[in-house]
Amino acid sequence: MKYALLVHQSQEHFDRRNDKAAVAAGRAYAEALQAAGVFVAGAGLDSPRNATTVSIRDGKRQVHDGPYAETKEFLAGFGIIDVPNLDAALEWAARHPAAGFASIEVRPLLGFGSAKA
Amino acid sequence: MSESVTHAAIETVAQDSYGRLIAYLAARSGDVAGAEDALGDAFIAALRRWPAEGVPEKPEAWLLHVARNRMIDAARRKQVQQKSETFLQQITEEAASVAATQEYFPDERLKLLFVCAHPAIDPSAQTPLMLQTVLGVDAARIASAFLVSPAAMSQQLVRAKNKIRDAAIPFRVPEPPELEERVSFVLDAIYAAYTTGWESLMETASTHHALASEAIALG
Repeated sequence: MKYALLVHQSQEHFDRRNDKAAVAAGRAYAEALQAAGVFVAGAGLDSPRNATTVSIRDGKRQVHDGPYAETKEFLAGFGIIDVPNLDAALEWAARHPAAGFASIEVRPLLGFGSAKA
Repeated sequence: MSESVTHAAIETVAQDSYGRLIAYLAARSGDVAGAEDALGDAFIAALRRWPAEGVPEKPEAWLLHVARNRMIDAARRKQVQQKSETFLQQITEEAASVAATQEYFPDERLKLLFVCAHPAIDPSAQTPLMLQTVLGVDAARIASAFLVSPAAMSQQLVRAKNKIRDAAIPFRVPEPPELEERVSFVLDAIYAAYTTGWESLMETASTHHALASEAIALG
């Protein structure tokens, strides 16, 4: 089963993402995922200020400055992991270095039955 | 054999084994709703065939066999994915060995309890889910005990079962230190089941006694 780990955090914590400790923790986590063979993909996201939202309505492209929804906590990064079940995914989510101050939303990917199941 | 005797036999099996049969089928497929549908079909088949053919020596094994075939058919219709292929293979082998040799099939109800009371399941759905799947209480009765409309209760139960299947909530008994936290969820839900049994005693239905005592036994 593939799951997305979606990191929702506040601006305050987002601003501190380049702190030495945060960078080191992030790297260690990525290495742990890779060592366990569960890492599929992942990235941190740039500020929602740099987001542009696109939609097509009545056949016309509409482009807006900003994220889909303005919220206090926003999507700051994501990872995709391949693990046997939800409990395993929750365990990896709990190990995420941002779990202590941000919220990690765990969502199954559609239509990706795991080779390991 | 007379029809009423077979009906009584079917009722006894349903009362004694419903939760165990559901737990066994669901633990292997990860699909509670699918297990319920298949077992429902198996009971219908029993109602049709046992009056003429007699009650089989191992009624649970018979029901399991029919339910397993229904699940295989259902999975085939749904374009077999790798996961269900593994499941089909596993359940075929296990059902064969259960039917051939064992008097009892493994009791997976504890795993089912942990799934029903998984923190990833909406808390208000946990006890109803337990009552329905483990104890076989029908949705309308659960709805009245929880003072919601039958439609709302059904919808809540369907949503919970979909999440179990789609998010792949595993059928397992957690290990420490996780166990401690998870047991508290299970106990809360069982406690709610227990009180439901007592509050409804006035309604005369004797199955509520069974419900309370089964809640005690599982706790």
